[in-house]
Amino acid sequence: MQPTQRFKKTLLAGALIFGTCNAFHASADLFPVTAGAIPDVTAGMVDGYTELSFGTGVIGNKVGQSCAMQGKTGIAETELLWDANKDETPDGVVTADYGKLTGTACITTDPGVPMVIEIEAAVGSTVTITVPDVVGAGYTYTPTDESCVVDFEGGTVTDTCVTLENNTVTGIGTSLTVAADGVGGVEDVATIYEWAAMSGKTRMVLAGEITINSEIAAGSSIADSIIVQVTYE
Amino acid sequence: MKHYKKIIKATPLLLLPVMGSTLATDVTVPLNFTTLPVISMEEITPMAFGDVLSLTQAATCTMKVDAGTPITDAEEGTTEVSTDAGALSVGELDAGTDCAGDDGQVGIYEITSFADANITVSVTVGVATDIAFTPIGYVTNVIEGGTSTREDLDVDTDADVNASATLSAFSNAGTNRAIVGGTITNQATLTAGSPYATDFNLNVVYQ
Repeated sequence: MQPTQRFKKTLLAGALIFGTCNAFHASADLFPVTAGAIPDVTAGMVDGYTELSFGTGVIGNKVGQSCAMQGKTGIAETELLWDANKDETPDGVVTADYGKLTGTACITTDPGVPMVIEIEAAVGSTVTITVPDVVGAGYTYTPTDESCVVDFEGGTVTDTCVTLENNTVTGIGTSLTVAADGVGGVEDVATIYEWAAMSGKTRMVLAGEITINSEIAAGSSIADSIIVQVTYE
Repeated sequence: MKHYKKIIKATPLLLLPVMGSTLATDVTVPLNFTTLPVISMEEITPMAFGDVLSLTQAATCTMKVDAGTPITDAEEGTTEVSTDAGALSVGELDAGTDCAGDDGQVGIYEITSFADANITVSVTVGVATDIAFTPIGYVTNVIEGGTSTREDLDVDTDADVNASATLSAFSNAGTNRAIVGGTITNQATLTAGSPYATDFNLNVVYQ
């Protein structure tokens, strides 16, 4: 049954009013949302450190033999800026073992020169650090367990310097901002010793070992590069 | 189409975890070392028997390194040997052999390696001419603490010694002295008044 002409006009008017009402009671628009990724991790050599050197006494004809440099076992907490037992007291000093050379492929009278690197990442983040072996002409360098990275666990137990004997360490925590307890025991960046400046940072010491793979001529000066890779997890 | 627009709008969010996983940095650490220097040798005093050889083929003449003229600290390159091991005389011509005359002059050779390096010193015969020479002698050995010893050296005996660690009044760091005498054997009948020469090898390697 068709509506009458008058009723058609009524329907048309109603539709127009309904549509107008809709225009006033509903709308859609786009609103911006912004966010930033965590800052890129950075790393660099600590002031005063410019190279990792095994010195001038490497014996190039000692094929199959090695020259090892001590790092972790001779370095003081103040050098790596950490507090292993969280007693708010700097433990240890840089000893004669720091940089000491041992092994049959080098003269061990004079020490070598280890490297200290500082890593900065987002506070509370964890990073993976890899130090691949370096295979050069006649030798191989490996970081060994005398290289390590400080892992700030962010709690009350102990921080550790995780060794790089397997070339890669994971889950390394950067120093956390934790409320000061004033008496030690809690990782606390608000007091002097507990490294206020270390929030979001950690340090690593690089020493290691070179092994002579094939004879290197006497009087050869070897210059190479170790690539330390730091990645967010 | 709607799904496509949603994907386009969500793209920046989708990329976030990807970007996060690529946040990384490298540090390039210079690694360096230098191998020990090439070992060098210098003749401090040439070996000279003097005009003492018998003319007879197969005759021998031996110059000793344990008797004869006192050797000085300057000649040995150290004071410690004389102090600890006693003064030594060298160059005496062995009366039991076929030479006659006063003391000869032992050969003195300075070996320069590296401070505190361990080296092996050996001697071998050279090329015989009308005379052949078999060396014998000793090498100074600077042990820790600065004291020294004399280590025997002959064709069948290598000497493992340590080079001086520091500068001394008579030698630089990284040095040893080899004091060499030996035996000449005539390979033919010699001519009176004629000079004769041969040689020997002094070999040094890092241990």
